[in-house]
Amino acid sequence: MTTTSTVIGTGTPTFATAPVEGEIAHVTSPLEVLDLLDDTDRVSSLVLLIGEPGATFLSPLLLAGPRAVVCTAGTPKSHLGIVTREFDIPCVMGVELSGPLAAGTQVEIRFDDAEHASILVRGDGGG
Amino acid sequence: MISSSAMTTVMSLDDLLVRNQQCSQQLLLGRTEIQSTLVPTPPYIVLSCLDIFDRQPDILRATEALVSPEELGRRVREPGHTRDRRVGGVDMLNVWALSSLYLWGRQFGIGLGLWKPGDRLDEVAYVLDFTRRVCQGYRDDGAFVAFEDISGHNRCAAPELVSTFTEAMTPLDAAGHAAFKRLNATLFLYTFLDSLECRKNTFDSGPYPSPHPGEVVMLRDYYAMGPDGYSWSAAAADVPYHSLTLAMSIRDTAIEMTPWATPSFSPEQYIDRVTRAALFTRDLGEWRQVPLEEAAAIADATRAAHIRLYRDVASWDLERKIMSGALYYFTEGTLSWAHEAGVEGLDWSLSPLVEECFPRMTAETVGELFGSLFAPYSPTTAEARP
Repeated sequence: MTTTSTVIGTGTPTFATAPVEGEIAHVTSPLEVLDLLDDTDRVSSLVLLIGEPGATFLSPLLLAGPRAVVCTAGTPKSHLGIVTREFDIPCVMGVELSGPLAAGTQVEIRFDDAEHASILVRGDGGG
Repeated sequence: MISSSAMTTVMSLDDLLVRNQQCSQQLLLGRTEIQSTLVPTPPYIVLSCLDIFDRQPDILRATEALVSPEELGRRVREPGHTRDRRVGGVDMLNVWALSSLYLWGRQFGIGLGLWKPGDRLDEVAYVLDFTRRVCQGYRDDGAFVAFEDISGHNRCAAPELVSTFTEAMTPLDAAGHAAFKRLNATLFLYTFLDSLECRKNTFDSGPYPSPHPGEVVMLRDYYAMGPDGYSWSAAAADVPYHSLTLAMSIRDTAIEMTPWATPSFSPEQYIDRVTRAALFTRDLGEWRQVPLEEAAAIADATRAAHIRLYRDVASWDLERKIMSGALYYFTEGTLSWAHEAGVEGLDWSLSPLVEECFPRMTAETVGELFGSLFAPYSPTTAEARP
């Protein structure tokens, strides 16, 4: 068992903040959003991984306060970037992943500076 | 400034079209994508812009018959709106949209073969001149929004009103700041959903000078938080205010406004730098201060409305989502001006042209049409339709 961390993705933060850790949850449809909404206690421990930068799709979960949001599209000026900033929810936009990032994977997000953030997993990848 | 007469020649029109395209490109590139899994944004933008290009000139002529564009520009400088309003507030985003969505519609229609670059040039010149005249009334510097540099600011509110707001601002302690933060974020998010993924119903203006050294003031309007002309807005029946204006003083932060009335902050996370705030409404006509102690109740009601509306929109089929978005965009982009002027007998529906074009809105076609906004502009000297 290894304790090293591997960078599995990089992107642009909507704002720089202290590192955060959480469990990856993939959200791909409004039905999944509504299902998660029924378990709001769990949402607060999740890093939501999504592929589109709109503000509305994820919106009920933003009201529930996820640990962070990781988006593989868009920029900090995208609607998702703007609304997560207003909630003070750490968010990384335009993330490029070097490999698959499975649901349930524990990740750490490091905000290197105003322009760069890294997503790290324990071991050698998120498989 | 660009004179009205300068826009009467085809050459000047082409210059203006290129300027507008450059402004749109800069704004679009800042976001790279406009997409939502909940509401398919790009197809409804295309459809609404076709209708805007087709119908807006006549609607603006009916508008100008009642109120001059300059006077309209002056009227919509005031933040907020009243409770009985059918549409959202009219602001700088609407000013940008007046000419920009119209010209997007021209470009999209050229791409779909609906019209040619040389068609309707008198109408194009009229819409651009109407927008320029609105800007003369709206902007404190007269800048022609979407064609000229707006210098990173939008100080549309009257100094006396800004003073009223700033004098009412109270310092935020930890609990007060938490309540302010939750209220702001909850309202902000709801306005995106009610507008079907537009940043239409949150409007920022400023930066204004603050009486507190090292700070600047920003005004933020939240519009259309109750039932109005859109069927889905019934979800917000329990939200106590239809329009709120939040004045906030922010320390050690630079604010730059885009023509979309979207601020950039430096440093980007400004929310923890808000030192004092005040909340107002003019739901019933006159400005009235709303105690910040109401923040939690307003946020709770808005949150409940949000969940109701999300469940409703998520249940719509694809056609309803796209057509509702197109109706929203067309109404807010074009009809809102006529509504502001008091034009009667407006047709609040989309035209048959939109229905006809709906089946053509494949992902590939829509992608190509948005891509055409980055291609060399179709010059007006090209052949008109026979």
